[in-house]
Amino acid sequence: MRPSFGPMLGTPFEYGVIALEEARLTWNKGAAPGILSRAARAFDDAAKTGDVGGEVGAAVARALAGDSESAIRRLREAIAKHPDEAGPYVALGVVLLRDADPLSHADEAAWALCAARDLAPQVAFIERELAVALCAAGHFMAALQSARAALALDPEDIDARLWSALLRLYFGGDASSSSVLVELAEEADNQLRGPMFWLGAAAGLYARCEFHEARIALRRSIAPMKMGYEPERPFVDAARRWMREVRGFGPGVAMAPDRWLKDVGGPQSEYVRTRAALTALRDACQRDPERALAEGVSALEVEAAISEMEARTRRGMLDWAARLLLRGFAEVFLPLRQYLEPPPYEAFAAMGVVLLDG
Amino acid sequence: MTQRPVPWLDGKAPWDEPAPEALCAEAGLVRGDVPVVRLLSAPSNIPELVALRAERFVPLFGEGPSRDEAVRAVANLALALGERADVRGGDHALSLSTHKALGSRPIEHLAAAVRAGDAPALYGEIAIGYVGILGASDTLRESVARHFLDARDGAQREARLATTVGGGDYASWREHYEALCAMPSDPSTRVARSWFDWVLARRFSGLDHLRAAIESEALDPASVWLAESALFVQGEDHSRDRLVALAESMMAPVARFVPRVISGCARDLVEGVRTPVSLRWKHLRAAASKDHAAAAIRHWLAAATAQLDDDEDHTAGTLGPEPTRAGRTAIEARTAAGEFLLDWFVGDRDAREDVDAYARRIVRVYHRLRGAQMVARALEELAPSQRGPETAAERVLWAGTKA
Repeated sequence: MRPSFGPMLGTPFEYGVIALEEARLTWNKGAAPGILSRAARAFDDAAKTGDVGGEVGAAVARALAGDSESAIRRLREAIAKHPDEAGPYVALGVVLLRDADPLSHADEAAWALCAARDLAPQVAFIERELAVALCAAGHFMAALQSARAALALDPEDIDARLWSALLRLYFGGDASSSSVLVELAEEADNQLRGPMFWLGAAAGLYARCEFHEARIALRRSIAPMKMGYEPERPFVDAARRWMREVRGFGPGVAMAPDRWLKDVGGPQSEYVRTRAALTALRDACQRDPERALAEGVSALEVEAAISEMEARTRRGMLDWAARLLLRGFAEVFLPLRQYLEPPPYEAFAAMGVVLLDG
Repeated sequence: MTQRPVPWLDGKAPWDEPAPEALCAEAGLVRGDVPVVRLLSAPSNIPELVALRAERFVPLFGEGPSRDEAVRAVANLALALGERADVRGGDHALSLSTHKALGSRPIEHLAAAVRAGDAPALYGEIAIGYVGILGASDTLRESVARHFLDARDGAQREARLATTVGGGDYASWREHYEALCAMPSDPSTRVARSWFDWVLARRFSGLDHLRAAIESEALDPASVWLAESALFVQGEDHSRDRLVALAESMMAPVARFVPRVISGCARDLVEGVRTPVSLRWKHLRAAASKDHAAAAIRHWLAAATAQLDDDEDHTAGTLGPEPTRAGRTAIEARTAAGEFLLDWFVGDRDAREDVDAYARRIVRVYHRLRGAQMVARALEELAPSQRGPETAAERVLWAGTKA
């Protein structure tokens, strides 16, 4: 086996870690397959000695090379063999969230990361990834709790701040978090992590009714993609599709009367016609209250039903909108992240592949 | 038309088996006193009741798909629902619809004959109408009608309506609606489907279609009545009067033969239309409880992808109309759960149950009215033209007719 850096030294596990490190450092919309293949082979040798870290490393190296199916299978086997080790659970969660279709794996990722959190509590990375998985799966309250737990462990964690702000904006209706999203993008730019965070900023700017700036933010988020390059088009289209839905449902959309009528489906919609029929019934009850009361109907009750229907529909639409926009954000953000960034060091640390000081 | 051999009449007929000794003793009879019932008595007597319990009766079309058996079926209706009929005459007539030893074989045999052209389709309609006019449960009505789903002409249409317009007994409206949607479209099934859409799923499109159908389509009177019962829910002026008038006009040709059907229908009808304002209120409450937000979001997604111009830089290419995966989930989850189920099974339980009770009554009356239509037609088509009534069954129906 050829060493990555310098002469051949150490155990197969160490060769694996070095190769993985090389892949991280040379990451440019992916890593060179040769480096990852070297890492995988080294970790395979380490795994033969019964090292759980070797099994995890071998699976992760394969996942980073694009072989998610094999990686997931290996990690499930590792979990079955070592159910009390947090590493395989963390790795499974990370690998599932780096899949091309993260929403379809979000529930399993959330399960794996929950299990990891039980085995290794107080790890900021696990809490943050759990928030992401829960959000992608549609469990927003639990996601918000995890994001807050991650922030409690590491207040500077910009990923946790991003998810917490998004959840507060769309799920909690907290308009102030739109500014956080915009500031985070600037901060992420300084850490060379801008593109994904500009996606969040687009949501924040739109919520602040800064529509032109929101468009610019969206362009910044897809700026690393080469124009007309087909393999990168899904990332661009997904972001634009998500933005189209933000423009329809998100905060910042002017809720004028005709807008509301349009949103519920126009004058022929069930909502509008039911409301009109209830209004007609209310008028009839007011015209002949004795007859209505004889049949147990009062104009007041009908009026209450009208306002309850309206309130429930508005609430329901907000709920649906939150569901669409948050899961939609995960659908765009996660593939973009897995394409532009390798897993961070703290991910490898949580998997038990490397040790971090501090 | 060729007479088909009846397999169970080759040897001893199942209804010729003697009644159990214990059953006879309980009623203070000896075996010889228990008759084989071909025609019901009016009013009933003890030996006949014992015969019915002991399965000593010839079931509906038990002696084959012949004119005599068709006349006997109609005569039994006249005896069970006539002026002098026993109060439980309807139940007794229903018990004649299937024989324990034969199961559904006589009806299967009849259906095969109708399919092969060995018996007129009218006989199939008589079998379906027989259980319909007696107010049979969904299960019994469907168990008879399903054999005629691939029959010819009117029998097939009646079978479709008998099997699909129902669901009140076990709250299986959804399954019936699905079956109705799967049926080939004709005016009667379209009306029934729109009735489900409006009355049970509270969809205004159903109401619009019913209004148009009443005005433009050539409908049979029972379908018109069904459509009118839906307009009644909307609180249309004079709808109650029209419902009653239509039911009376359909009953008129058979009123002399089966007067008790009128009282049965009247009971259900009066219960259903007694409190129009309350019914309308409950129907609208149930309509208001539907998930309008989900419908609105789906509508919005469709409209947004079709109409909104894309603000983005168009050098990236035109964006397809499909929503995000999260958006697709909003559309598909509802489809997977079943549109009709979600619109029918709303959270306002009291309102829903009251509307369901109305729907149950209307469906029962509807099948009785279809049965009445059938009896009227059968009386016309089976009447002895050249000669006067000869058999006992014919005398029940046409006693006053001269040769």
